[in-house]
Amino acid sequence: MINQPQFYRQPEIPGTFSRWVKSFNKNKLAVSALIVLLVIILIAIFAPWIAPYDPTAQFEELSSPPYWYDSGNSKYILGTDDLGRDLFSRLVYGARLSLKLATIVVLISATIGILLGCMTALTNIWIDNIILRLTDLILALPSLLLAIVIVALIGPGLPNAIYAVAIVLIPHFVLVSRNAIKHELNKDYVTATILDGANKSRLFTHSILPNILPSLIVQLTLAFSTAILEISALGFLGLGAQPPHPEWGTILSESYVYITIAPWTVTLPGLAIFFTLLSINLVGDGLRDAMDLEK
Amino acid sequence: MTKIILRQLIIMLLSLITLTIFTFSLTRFFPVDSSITGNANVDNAAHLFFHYFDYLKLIVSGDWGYSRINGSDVLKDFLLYFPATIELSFAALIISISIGLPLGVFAARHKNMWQDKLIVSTTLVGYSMPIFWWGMLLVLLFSLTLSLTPVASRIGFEYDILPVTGFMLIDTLISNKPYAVEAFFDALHHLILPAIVLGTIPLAIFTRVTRASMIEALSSDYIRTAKAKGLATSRIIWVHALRNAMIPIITIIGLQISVLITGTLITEIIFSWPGVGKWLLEAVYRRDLVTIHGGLLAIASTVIFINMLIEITTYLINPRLRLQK
Repeated sequence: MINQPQFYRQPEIPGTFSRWVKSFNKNKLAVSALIVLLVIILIAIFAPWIAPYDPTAQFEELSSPPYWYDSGNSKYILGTDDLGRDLFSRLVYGARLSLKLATIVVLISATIGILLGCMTALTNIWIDNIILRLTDLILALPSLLLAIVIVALIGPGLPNAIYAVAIVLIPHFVLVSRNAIKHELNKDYVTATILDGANKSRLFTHSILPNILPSLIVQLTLAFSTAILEISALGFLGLGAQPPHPEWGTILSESYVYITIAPWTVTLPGLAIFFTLLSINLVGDGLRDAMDLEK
Repeated sequence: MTKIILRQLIIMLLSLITLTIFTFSLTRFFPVDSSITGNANVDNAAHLFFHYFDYLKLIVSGDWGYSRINGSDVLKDFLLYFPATIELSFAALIISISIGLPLGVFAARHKNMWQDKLIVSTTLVGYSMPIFWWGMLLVLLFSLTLSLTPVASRIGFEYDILPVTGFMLIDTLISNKPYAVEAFFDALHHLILPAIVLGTIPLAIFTRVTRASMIEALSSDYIRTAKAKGLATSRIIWVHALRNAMIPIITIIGLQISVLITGTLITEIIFSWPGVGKWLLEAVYRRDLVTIHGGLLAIASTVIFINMLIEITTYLINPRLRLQK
């Protein structure tokens, strides 16, 4: 070893993933957004240990303001709502509920949407055309309107709202995965793999899938923020989670009536939704830049 | 030219047919109304086919059934509430374009400087804003704390304006009341806050798109030529670059129509704006399926129609597409 002269050290060639991480880390805003998002996720996971009270427990202090008000009570740091429920506990449990629901929605719509997208991209032109027209039509319609109509037909409530938002998000996944695959199929390396004798399933799993992953990841973060927004919008309209649930949109719709008496019950839940959405969108933007996606 | 318009018309027709098949299946699976569904127990596939044509005939002839709650004609109801929604959306669109376009151009001129970074991050904030909360915040600030704007509705109750066109701003002016001008300004006063709330997300999107499109235009060769000719910077920016940057912007304006309609659903609830969104949501609360069916059909076909108009416009203003053989 020692007597073999070493002219230069072979530099370590970074893999795709570590290049993404490196490039993402350069974006300070996205990194801080990721930290905020991680904190929100941790709060959601450890909600029962963080929240001082049960989210539905009622106390004698009705509409008690947050502790920084003169008349505030340090027992309830963010105050209580009109029914005397601790707002901080409700928001913490709300984070748990919102993230859980959004995850379910994204899982459902991503599975169905990506499967459909792959099927349309890899099968014959007729099915592709039909599904493309259908997704175009659904995408042209306002998504919340569609979700509202679906909820109106199958009835308001939590599971139905999840189905509605999931159905509305499916076309996005179909279109993104289909377009990404079609885009890759035209490239030379795919032709080379076909000439090498790869069958369809190998072509898909080894050549195409790794290359459409960036678009799918970005679409997943986008869908996650859309899901949170739409679920809370449905909750606000009284069509999603029903009142005892500490869902952020539902809390907002309950407290809008008391906006003049207890403005903190309106500002704080909205702030929670806003920061969650903002951090997800910032992370999504950062990911898009890091993975060099053209939008 | 005519070929392209014909093509767009055919695409629109196909979309409308798909839409009516969808709404028709709603009437089949959910008990909408016998006035639309007609004779109920049809199992035969062939009968179903003819049944769909009967349904189409009813829809085209304007018989959209009657509301289950108050028995009023659904299509007439829609046409009654639609102008209020158009007025609100149009005001929001004007606000967002008139602010977003200059802001995007400004950001593009100061690319990667602090002004640009500030604008880009502000647009991301606007983009992440849950519109129902934003509306409440503005009501809390401007209406309740500062008492600058009214809280709700389209016009003060002291003005008695007969709906002629349905557009409050026009109706106040053409009414022969002594307070016509005051009423007009009152209606404008009521319009401004909902329009700002509704226009926020489109504003953020327009700014981002204008910025991206302007940066691309400013880096092209003809801009360098224009600079070399010694043209004034303002002329280069506003005439040479912006005209070419407008094409993607107009496409995005078309896409905002559905964002605006989603927004009106919520904005109208917050501001008690008597438009289509509020009408439809009330129907949802009462499970008035005939009205929901009509509302979905009407809004969706409006969106499809506007999308077609936008497609044709982008084609007409883009010489590269227009002169293509």
